[in-house]
Amino acid sequence: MKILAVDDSRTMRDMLRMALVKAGFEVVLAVDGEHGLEMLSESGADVIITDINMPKLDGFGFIERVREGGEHRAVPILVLTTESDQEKKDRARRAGATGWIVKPFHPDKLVDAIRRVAA
Amino acid sequence: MDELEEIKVTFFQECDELLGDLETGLLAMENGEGDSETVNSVFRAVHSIKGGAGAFGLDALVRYAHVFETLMDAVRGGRMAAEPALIRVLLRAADVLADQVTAARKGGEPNQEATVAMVAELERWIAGKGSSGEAGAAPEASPAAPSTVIDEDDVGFGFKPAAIALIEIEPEPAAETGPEGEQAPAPIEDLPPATVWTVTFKPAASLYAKANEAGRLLRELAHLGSVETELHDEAVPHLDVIDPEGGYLTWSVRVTTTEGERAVREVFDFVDGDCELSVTGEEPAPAIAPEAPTEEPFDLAALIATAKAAPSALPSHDPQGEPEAPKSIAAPPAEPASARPAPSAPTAPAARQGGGEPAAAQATIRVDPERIDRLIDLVGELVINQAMLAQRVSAHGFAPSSDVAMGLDELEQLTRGIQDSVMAIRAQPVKSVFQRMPRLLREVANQTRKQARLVMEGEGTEVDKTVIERLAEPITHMLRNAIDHGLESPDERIAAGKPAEGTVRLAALHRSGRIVIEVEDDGKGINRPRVRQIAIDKGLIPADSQLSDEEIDNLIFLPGFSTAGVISDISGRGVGMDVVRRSVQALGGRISISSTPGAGSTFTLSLPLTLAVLDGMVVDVAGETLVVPLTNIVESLRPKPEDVHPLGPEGAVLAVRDSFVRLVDIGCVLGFRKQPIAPDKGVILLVEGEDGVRSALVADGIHGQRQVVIKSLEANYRQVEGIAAATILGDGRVALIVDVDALVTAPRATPRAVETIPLAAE
Repeated sequence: MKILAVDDSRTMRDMLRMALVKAGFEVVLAVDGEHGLEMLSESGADVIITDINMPKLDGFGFIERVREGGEHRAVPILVLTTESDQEKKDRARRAGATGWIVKPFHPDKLVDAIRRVAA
Repeated sequence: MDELEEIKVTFFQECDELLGDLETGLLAMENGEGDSETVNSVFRAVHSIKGGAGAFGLDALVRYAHVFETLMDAVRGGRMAAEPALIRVLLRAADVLADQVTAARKGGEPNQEATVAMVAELERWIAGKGSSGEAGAAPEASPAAPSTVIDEDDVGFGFKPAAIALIEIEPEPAAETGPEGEQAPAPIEDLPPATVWTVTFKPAASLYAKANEAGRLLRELAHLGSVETELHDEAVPHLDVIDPEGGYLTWSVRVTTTEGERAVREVFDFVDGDCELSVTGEEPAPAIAPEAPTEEPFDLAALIATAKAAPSALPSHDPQGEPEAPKSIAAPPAEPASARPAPSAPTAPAARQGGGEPAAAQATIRVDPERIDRLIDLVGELVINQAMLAQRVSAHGFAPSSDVAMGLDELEQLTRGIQDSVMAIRAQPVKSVFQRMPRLLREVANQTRKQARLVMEGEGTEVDKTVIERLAEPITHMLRNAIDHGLESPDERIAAGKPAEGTVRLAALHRSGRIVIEVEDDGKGINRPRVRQIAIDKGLIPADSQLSDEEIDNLIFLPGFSTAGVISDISGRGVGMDVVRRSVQALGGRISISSTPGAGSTFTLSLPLTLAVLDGMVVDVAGETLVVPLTNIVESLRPKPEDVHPLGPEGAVLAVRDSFVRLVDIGCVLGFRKQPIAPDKGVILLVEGEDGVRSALVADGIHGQRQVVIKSLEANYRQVEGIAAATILGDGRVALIVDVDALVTAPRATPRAVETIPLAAE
């Protein structure tokens, strides 16, 4: 299964990659929403994990653009963010997020969340 | 866990970058250049540091970053105006954050007092009391005085538990999940009585639109215990009016589980609001122990069978005659036709995913600097080797037009190309050094009770890494000096008709193959009579010496000179400007000062772009081979006898076009010979020193231009005045690289240190 992980922080990208590769997923990384869209159309994904606060195109915008149409509009999107407050979750969901993962994440939680939306 | 440690290293590297962005952004805001993206990037920097810190369990850092982030979020959201007083606080908060990061990196404790004070200040702002309570100058003037801020709450760490509690950790700690990942059922003996929950679940179209799927949710439900599922498909409309992405199905599930209602509802966490959901508890069912969920705990096949049964209940009206049509309804209807096989089919996910694309290519690569250093050393050897080869080829009498010689020419070009490219890899913008300076300025300004603003230019100027590392110290010192000695106190400035806030400009630029760093202040300038008097008092110059303004200014570089009446904490750290000058000179650099009384001073530091190679003119002087750096040479010429004019008992000047320049016989200055040769018998190299003054160096002859690899004389022998470094020539001999500025400023009559000469003869 291929996971597209979008995060502007190199640390988080490394963490995600490590956790996901260990869990046996194929991982594609992107550094912001725009890059995420590019990578999605280039290599596709079965699940997308995205950060919210990013330069260029933020997580909300990215989700909206994915959902807006095209062949990848039905890919489950998990929002990865430290914001646990309801408002952020609601906004992400209004944009079309499938679910969320709260940072800091435990690798098992991450895999569990992916399993909940795909697998 | 090696990989995690590596990521941790990455995290701290990223922190440095983020702290840089943070400061850059805040400074832009301070200058009124910050747009909303700037504010966002500042927020993101703090946010990302917090996020990474959370991943590594750096709790102190997380707590502090959280308070900072909360305030930044208010600014970002427009709930708080980015007034100058606030930005000043944010800048200091950024400094404290940098300290916290440093402490976390070293595994130590950050300065508690400073943290507590800063947190209290940030919280005052968050509470909206920042500007009114401590209006303007107060927090600026005494930021380090904890007494003013601590009284607000004297609990150890200074901020309220409520703030700490905001750290987002899921209600259940991850550890509970256990390494096996799945919620392993508790041992049977400990089982609380199982409850039967009736879950009615009607997904709306929006649930599917967000790529959630009923099948998966039902499967999650089955993880909780045993389930009985019933599908209600009465609402499915006629095929010709059906919305393929609509939500028409309702499930009721009886879950027998030991888990509470919360666990049941949590399954539907992601789809809250996108479905109709009711969860009702029934009587405990003590008889039934939940079947331990095994690999496929939920009878998916049964569910699908149930679901598949649904379409058959539909009127068999099939306009397109497609046998698959009913199936696509059975699968969660949101699935667009083109997407992929119905994910609820148990075999599908495993079967999919054939050849995956390779992972994303990174735009940049990170390389261990040692590898590049080794490469540069090797290329240096290659350059020397190529030069030796060329020399041997010509010694064997090959004509310059011969194949061999032409091939060698091409080789030389390639070698140069490789060398340039390799040097470019190691080149870095001076930004990494510059970005530490705003903080230094704030600290020094605070300590000296002065107001100062830093303007930086040319941060993108690139210079070899070897030079970057050596820039920080002299710049730090020049900057300290500019604030401490250059700028006046706000009162003095106002009295002098200047703005209370002084400006210090830090600029980097490339000039004739060197990097030039300028530190300019708009302060009072050098008090020349005082400097002169001090130099006389300290016996540094004779009382009757006649000095130009420039010479007086440069007295401050003399060893043992310090103008500050009281050695202040700032500049008087045991490092005088003389030490700075010496360390700069050791790098083949120059430092000078120019000053206008009442208007300010400018320190100019110039260094070679690299400490690895140098373009030089190879010359012959009294039988020795020397290299004169090409960057110093303006032109070379053969003088006519009538252009040489004696001056004084020993000196002479040369008429070059409209001006006279001093003649300096290299051989005499370096002590190779006692008597200068007649200038018209030799070759003149017209050179320009750092101060822009031209001189004419007299050599016996010119061998040609060559790129030479610099070998430090200091590291291999010792520092020799008039000599910058050494190199190895094509024939394997060592040649000395002259320090042009030292040569032309050397007092004429003084014989040079003769004992250093044998080295050149080796």
